[in-house]
Amino acid sequence: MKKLLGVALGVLSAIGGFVDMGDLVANAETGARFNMNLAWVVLVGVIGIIVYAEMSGRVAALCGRPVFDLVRERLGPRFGMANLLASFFINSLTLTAEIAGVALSLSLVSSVNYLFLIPVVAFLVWLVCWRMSFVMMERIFGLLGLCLLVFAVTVWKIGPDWNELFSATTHPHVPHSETVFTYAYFGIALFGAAMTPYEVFFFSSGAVEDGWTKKDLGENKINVLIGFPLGALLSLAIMACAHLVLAPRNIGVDQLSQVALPVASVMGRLALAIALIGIFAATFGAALETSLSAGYVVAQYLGWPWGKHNAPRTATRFHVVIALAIVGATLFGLTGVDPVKVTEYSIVLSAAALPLTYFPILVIANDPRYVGPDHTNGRFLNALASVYLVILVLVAIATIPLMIITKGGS
Amino acid sequence: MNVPATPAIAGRVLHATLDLLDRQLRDRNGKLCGNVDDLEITRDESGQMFVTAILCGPGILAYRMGRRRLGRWLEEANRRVHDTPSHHERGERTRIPIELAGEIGPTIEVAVDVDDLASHDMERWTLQHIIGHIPGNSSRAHQ
Repeated sequence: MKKLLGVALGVLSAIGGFVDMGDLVANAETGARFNMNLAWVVLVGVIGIIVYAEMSGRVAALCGRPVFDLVRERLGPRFGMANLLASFFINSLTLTAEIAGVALSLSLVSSVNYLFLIPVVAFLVWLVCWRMSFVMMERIFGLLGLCLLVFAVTVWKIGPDWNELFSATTHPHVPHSETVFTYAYFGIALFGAAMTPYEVFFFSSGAVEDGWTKKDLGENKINVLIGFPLGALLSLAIMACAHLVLAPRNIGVDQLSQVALPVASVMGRLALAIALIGIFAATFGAALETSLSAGYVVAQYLGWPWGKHNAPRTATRFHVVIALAIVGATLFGLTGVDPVKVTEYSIVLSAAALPLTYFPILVIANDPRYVGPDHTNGRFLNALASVYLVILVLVAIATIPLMIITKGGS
Repeated sequence: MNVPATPAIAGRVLHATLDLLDRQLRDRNGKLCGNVDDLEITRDESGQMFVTAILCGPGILAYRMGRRRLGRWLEEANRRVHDTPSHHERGERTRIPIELAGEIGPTIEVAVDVDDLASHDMERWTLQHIIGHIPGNSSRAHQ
């Protein structure tokens, strides 16, 4: 049990990336439209986030500097500011979607209009940011999010033709009903979700919050190697469920209530309840991740005191930024914007900003003055990380044109 | 910690700038107290240049980035919340003589108190006017 609790930070970071509000729907939609032909992108993405999250956690443990500190230092204040504005904007969009998502998942069980629930949810998110300890927070929401494993159980219960699932993953092709452009667009959305920047903002800041030092490098590795693959597994399970149950019945997915449909129809009501708890925890966890990240990036760029390991009165501007982000997201959410669309756009937009976040991590993880001579990247890791940096740049270039050509994947 | 900057070893100067600018500052009690927003460089009679102070505080980064109007505005806004009377005193509060800097590592420790720095004025203002009024502000979160 202690081991399991020890990986809570990795699990919560991963949940925010792979199965938050927009991704829950995007995964299911992808499964329903493309079968498993895009599953390989999730696998490519999870390796990328493992590589970079490990570096960010290692740097944070060895010199106490989280990612956004490094961004300003290595990119300079100008590019750093560009990244700050982009990250903060994307973060706020995501936070809007998560708060609306939690409200939607609560409205599924309470039949109260979700717009009435938005302010309540926003208040709860703020309260957790204000009062709950970081350790408690990562454990509760990280572990409850694992209720989503019920999707994996559902796939297993259906007893699909594993060969068929596997071969679509290893020999992908574009389905006849789709174009190369929509295929690429959804691919980028999945890749962008896997490598969402706020995962490393949150993970590396969390490493500082949890007080990691040199002793915890093993902990860092375990967190990364268990947390992120678990996130990818959940993402693939949701995709496979939609492919196996929804696609044959021609059910498209464009809202949260349809995501859990396969679980309900195959496994019954108890399983549905578990899935809903998982959806609630994942979206709420992602809301915490994004609201805290809003505070982290601004405070770290400007050198302010930050973090939940301090009492709020010793990190005052940090808490003000968090509160403002939550208020802004709430007001935007109350306009009735479709939370699914909001996250889909925010994921794709964040794909355009990815290199600005990951490049400084790679540079610092090679700098012995930060991580010490014994803990710089090895050759293999550098080769792999460089390949990913090239992929990130290509993705960043392709993102906006694809979004325009496909009209947002429709 | 004077860094000579004759052309012969200009490389080392660049190096020093890279190692100083934008670093996180910590005060003598280990509290985070802003970044190195800019450096004060002085030239002596022989033409050698030295880093003589770390500059840090509201508006300074904006000045360095060439946003003079924004810099002035931030400076003015900060002066209002802090009501520092004289310009001179203000200058002292954004300037940390390099002699007070300790080891230059991933963070730079400076032998000053966070409350003596202009970079902390807004933090204090926020405490007095906002955070201080919300219940539970002084306790660390429950484990």
